[in-house]
Amino acid sequence: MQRRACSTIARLVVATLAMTALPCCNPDLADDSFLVDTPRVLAVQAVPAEAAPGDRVTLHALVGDRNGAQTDATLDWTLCRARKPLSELGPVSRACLAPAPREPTPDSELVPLEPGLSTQVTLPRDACRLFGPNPPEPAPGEPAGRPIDPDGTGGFYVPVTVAFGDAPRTLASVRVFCPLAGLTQRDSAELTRRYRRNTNPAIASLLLVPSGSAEPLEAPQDGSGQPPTVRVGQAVRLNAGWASCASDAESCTGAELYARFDVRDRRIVMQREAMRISWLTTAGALSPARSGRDATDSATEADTLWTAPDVPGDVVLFVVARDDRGGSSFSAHRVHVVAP
Amino acid sequence: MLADEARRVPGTSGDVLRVVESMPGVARATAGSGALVAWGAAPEDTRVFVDGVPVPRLYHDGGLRSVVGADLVRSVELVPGGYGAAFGRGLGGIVTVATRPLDDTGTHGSLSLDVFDLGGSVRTALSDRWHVQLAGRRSHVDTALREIAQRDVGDLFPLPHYTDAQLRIGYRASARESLELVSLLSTDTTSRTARDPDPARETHEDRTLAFGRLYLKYRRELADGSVVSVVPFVGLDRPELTSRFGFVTTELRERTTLGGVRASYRTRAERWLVLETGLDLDVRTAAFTRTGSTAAPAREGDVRVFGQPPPGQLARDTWRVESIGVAPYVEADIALFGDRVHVIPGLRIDPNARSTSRLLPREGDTPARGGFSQDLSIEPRLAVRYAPSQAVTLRAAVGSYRQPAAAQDASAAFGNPTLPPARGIHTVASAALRLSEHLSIEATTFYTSASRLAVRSPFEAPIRAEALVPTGIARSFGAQLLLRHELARGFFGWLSYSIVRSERAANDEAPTRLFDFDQTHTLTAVASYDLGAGFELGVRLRVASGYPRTQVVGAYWDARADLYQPIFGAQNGTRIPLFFQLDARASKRFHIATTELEVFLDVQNVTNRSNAEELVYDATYRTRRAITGLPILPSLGAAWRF
Repeated sequence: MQRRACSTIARLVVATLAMTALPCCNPDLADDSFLVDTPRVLAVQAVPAEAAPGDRVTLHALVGDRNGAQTDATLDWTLCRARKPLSELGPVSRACLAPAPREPTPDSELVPLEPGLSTQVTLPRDACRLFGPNPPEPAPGEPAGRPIDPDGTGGFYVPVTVAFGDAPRTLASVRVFCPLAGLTQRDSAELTRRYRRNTNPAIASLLLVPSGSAEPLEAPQDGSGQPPTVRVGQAVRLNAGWASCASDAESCTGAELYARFDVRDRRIVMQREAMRISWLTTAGALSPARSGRDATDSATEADTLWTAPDVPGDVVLFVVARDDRGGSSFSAHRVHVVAP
Repeated sequence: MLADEARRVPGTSGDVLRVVESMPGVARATAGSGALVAWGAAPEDTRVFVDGVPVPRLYHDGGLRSVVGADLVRSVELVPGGYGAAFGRGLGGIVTVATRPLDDTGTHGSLSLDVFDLGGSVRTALSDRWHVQLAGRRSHVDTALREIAQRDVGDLFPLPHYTDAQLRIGYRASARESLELVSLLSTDTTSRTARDPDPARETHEDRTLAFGRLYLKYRRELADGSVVSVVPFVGLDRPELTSRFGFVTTELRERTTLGGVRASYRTRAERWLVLETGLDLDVRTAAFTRTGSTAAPAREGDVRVFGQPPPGQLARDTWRVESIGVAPYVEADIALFGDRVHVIPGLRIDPNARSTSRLLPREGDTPARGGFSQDLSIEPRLAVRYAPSQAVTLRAAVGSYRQPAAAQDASAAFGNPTLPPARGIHTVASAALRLSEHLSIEATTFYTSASRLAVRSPFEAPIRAEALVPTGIARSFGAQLLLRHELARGFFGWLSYSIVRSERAANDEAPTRLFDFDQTHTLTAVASYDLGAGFELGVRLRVASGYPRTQVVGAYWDARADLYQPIFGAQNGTRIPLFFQLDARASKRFHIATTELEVFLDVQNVTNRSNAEELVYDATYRTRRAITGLPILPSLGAAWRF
């Protein structure tokens, strides 16, 4: 009886506090960046997804606006050779965010590339010294400099920036293959033997499952088939699938298994790629705007909920797949939204 | 300030040591931080001592409670700068906590319960000579806060969970000699997870700080009035941090074992001369393990925005640091001109040695090569006190100070194993006027400077094992005014205002910027009145400038991470909006036989003002808002003392 009384008193105290208190803390900062209503870059894909210094890489951009994917956008691409200081907490040196000079010199940190929706870039031959594990050139009389640390997947990246109209500048990162430094000879040899360069992921299927419907609808890429039809305001589950990768596959367009050096345990481990899907739309709402599977999850699909707009018309859904080794792919899918 | 007075200050919820945050010269800490910023010094530069023994912190996580139970505290003193030769190894101020003597007869104690925690203490005389005291406390505030605030409050601010315990065994050999064994234990754990369907945006953080101290407190008053004090101590510090922001994991683990002795001999050598000589010995062994980005945890001076993900580059290091400092000191109090002038020169000589296990980052199986350094610091101090009349006292102090480089910064991968000690100079001047028997006013001005502070290397290609470089410089200057009414006829209180500017620069040639904890204006008013019949009322008003922040002036989009990244304007070029908070306390004491029951209501933020605690941006950095602090927070509690 006494125990119950104490418990009751405690609950009363908390309830009293609850009545006097008002919501606090978190401001309402809705993220509507999934809505493509002005022209901007939505994704950048590097082909191949991982290359060695001196290799030529093709960069493709997905540019979208309220009408769908643009096919004739002119983008200004710039290769950045500026090393990021340790005091810079972002992914790239601030020097990379400036426009390229009209007439670059051989020493220029910013090198303009061919404009267009796609471009080609030759990875600098000293990329592993600029952005990788090779020590930078020391100043005369100074000891060796500090190399760049790899990311969690053991990777290094060459920055390329993209300018397009009034949209914020885009940073594209090209994964460059550099042998890791600081390993024992045995670990280095084993990693070289087991490592497989990254392959861009591919979206194997996109299905729409409107609420109240048992049958999923296929959504072909824009321009390649009959678009599916949904009703205004209808809730539609979007499901993106990718390939399942065998552990011994040389390359795979799903969540690949790859070898990396675990800095914590100091040994070579096999790890599955994490896969992320970014969802974008020209109309309606998406929740969540990003979904995916982390490295411990072997599922080969991710989904989201799209609410169709309240007005009939054509809507374009963009799906961007990214693995955590810098690989990506993208597609655009048109949907007819009709009145009930 | 004495404990009985400090306990009644509104906003402290009866925690004696929380009065420090209301003292002049102390900046108002961000909600949930518990950081102590005095006269523009970094929180880690202000040293905390309990009975002369160094402890790593004064407050538990969140700043809601101190680490030492209120029943143990006799007094607490904050010296923001210009402290004497007995203390050192810190460029900021010092907080000294003195425990109450164990000399009661009979058995006494207390039991208290409020929205924050449940605590209790008991002290008893086992005999005429032997006394013992046991105290402990356990929080439940994390459970309570989840009930009264939005569910996501724990996503933004870690909800604190703490325990502390103290044990004291005292032996009184005579009226002039005593020996006491004291044990302090404290643990803090916080954990928070913000789930997200996007694995790159899920965040998680676990933080633990446990520390313990065991010390002997020996005091003997000799026949000639001289006092000998010896306090040997040992201790353990166990901080741990594990956090994950998407694919970037940060781990930081420290194991520090420390020991030392603080000894002093104070004597009146002549009628006009009091001499104190002493020794401050500190020996530490620290072992660290760290994995993650060099930029996480963030450092003061980093240009960043709340919630910004850390860089993705990862490193790992393990290292050990052993250090020993043996600091003899001497201080004289020379009375001149009929005791109207006191000149207090002091000298502290601090030779110290340090060994580091690894000078360069690990390379395969290459054996680690360690390093050894030694330093001799000579730190003169001088204070002068002049009382031209009974009502007026003028003071001035100047001193040289030194602070060893943090062992956490001695990593060859994340820091710099060869960082030298930082140095500083403090100058203080004050004038106090006694307006009446209980009313006084004091004006203080100060200037402090420091050099050889560890800062991030600004170079695009820093030298190996020099991610940090000892080129940082700092200066703080300002003034404060304190009007104080001592406890009389049931009333006490004070009104203080300080204006401070605290600046940093990465090196001699770099531009000066505001210190991350610069707080230009701080106004604190405290008043407490005993109405009689056991009723007591108190209020506390705090108005403070917000901390500087760096404005985001643009953004670029990282296509690989699908994240916008901020483009910053001038470092610390804007501020969090002004802070204003009124707290009130009402209590009623009941006498029940020989015991006393106090029921109190401590209301923080009476006006329910939405104070901005941090600036945040939307995902594209186009819209800026503020995270606000807790709303009106009533804390109903009771304390039973016997």
